[in-house]
Amino acid sequence: MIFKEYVCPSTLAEAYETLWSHPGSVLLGGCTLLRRNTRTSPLGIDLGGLGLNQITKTGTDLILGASVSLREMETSCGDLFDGALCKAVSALGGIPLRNVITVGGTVASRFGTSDLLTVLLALDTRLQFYHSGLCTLEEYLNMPPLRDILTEIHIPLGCSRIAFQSMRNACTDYALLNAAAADTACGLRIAVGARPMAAALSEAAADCINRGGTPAQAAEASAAELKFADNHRAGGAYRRELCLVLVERALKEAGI
Amino acid sequence: MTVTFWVNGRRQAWEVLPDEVLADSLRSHGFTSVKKGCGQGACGLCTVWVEDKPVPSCSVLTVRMAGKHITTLEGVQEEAAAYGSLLVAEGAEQCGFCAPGLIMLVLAMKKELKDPSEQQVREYLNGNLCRCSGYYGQIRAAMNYLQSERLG
Ligand SMILES: Cc1cc2nc3c(=O)[nH]c(=O)nc-3n(C[C@H](O)[C@H](O)[C@H](O)COP(=O)(O)OP(=O)(O)OC[C@H]3O[C@@H](n4cnc5c(N)ncnc54)[C@H](O)[C@@H]3O)c2cc1C
Repeated sequence: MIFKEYVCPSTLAEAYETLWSHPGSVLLGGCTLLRRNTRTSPLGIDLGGLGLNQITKTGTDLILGASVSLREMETSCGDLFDGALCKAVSALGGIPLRNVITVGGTVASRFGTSDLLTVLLALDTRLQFYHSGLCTLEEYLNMPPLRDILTEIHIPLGCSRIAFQSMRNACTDYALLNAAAADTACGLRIAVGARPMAAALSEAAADCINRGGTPAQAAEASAAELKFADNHRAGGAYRRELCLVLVERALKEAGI
Repeated sequence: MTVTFWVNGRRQAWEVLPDEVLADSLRSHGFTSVKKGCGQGACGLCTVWVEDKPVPSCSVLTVRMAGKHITTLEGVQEEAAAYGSLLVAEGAEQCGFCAPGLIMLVLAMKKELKDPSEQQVREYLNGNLCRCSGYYGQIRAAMNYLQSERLG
């Protein structure tokens, strides 16, 4: 049991009003993470009726509606960003599962080991919320829980090169650590995720490269700057070692 | 709640719980080709098609199926037998519990990918777990199946 009652609103206003008027209610994306909840919610609010399943391109951004599935994103956007969006989800379950999981649920849940969040952070992604408006993914990752509906994910198209790297014990397992390096319109961005906390940017690594440092020196700067922790998959000290390797590889692969 | 949809081309109106998943609804109505393994979308045993796309039916809410077309192994017997016999020929069929999900995924792959390489086949079938075989027989059978379909 994940919820007791179900509604499928047809407007965002109705969905948002229902979310606030029903304490404990949950928004339903693909429900794959929600199904692991042990707590039963009184009400599930389906976002599937809101038409948030569009993929559009403006002059500056790729815009993914929150209900777009990971598989739709893979098959429609595979040629963008050096294939990094595909690479970031290719290890996530099988294709049937990726037909169900939504981009919105993946971003909104701020899942620590997410590969996609790391790539989106490197790409300087913005998030459009129904009530709170636009914010950067970086701001969202550092915010307290937000009771709002994520409607769109805006990815600036101005990135010239990006590379994604991850380390996993088996190719379909969760990442022990992941890293992405991107040369974007607003400069170099280096993100490290699955620390096991969600992705964070390493300003020190970007500064190091901007001052003429090598990829190996930048990787050292990121390993010194970012926090890593232990969990059942790997220790923090091991993750720090992985950071040295993955950040250097990502920078070299991106030709930075 | 009553939900109306199609299963293998036949219209159905089922009474379901608000958070009931499709695998449970299908099994309780006799579509027992749908097997339940992990119940979390990780093993692929419960794969069915919704509007021709493969999905893990343990991770899909039945209430969301209103107006949709669902296909289970019972609805694709002929194609299933074609791949199934190649699976047997390769000695890849042992306990058989993962076969319905695997077959639904192989048939979906045939529709979606044009002349896939073995690597693409491996990537497509990744996520369908088998605890008897080492996947080699299943992959060989899939390649043979695609080849035989190409030759007609
Ligand atoms: C078998 C399996 C393997 C996995 N492997 C990996 C892996 O290798 N790497 C990895 O990174 N992840 C992995 N995951 C986790 C996966 O990334 C998440 O389950 C998935 O991203 C959640 O997306 P969803 O659409 O199903 O969200 P839901 O489960 O529907 O929602 C998740 C949370 O976000 C909220 N939410 C949903 N949509 C919105 C919205 N539009 N606005 C605001 N809030 C919203 C929900 O209320 C809920 O709190 C795996 C999951 C499974 C089941």
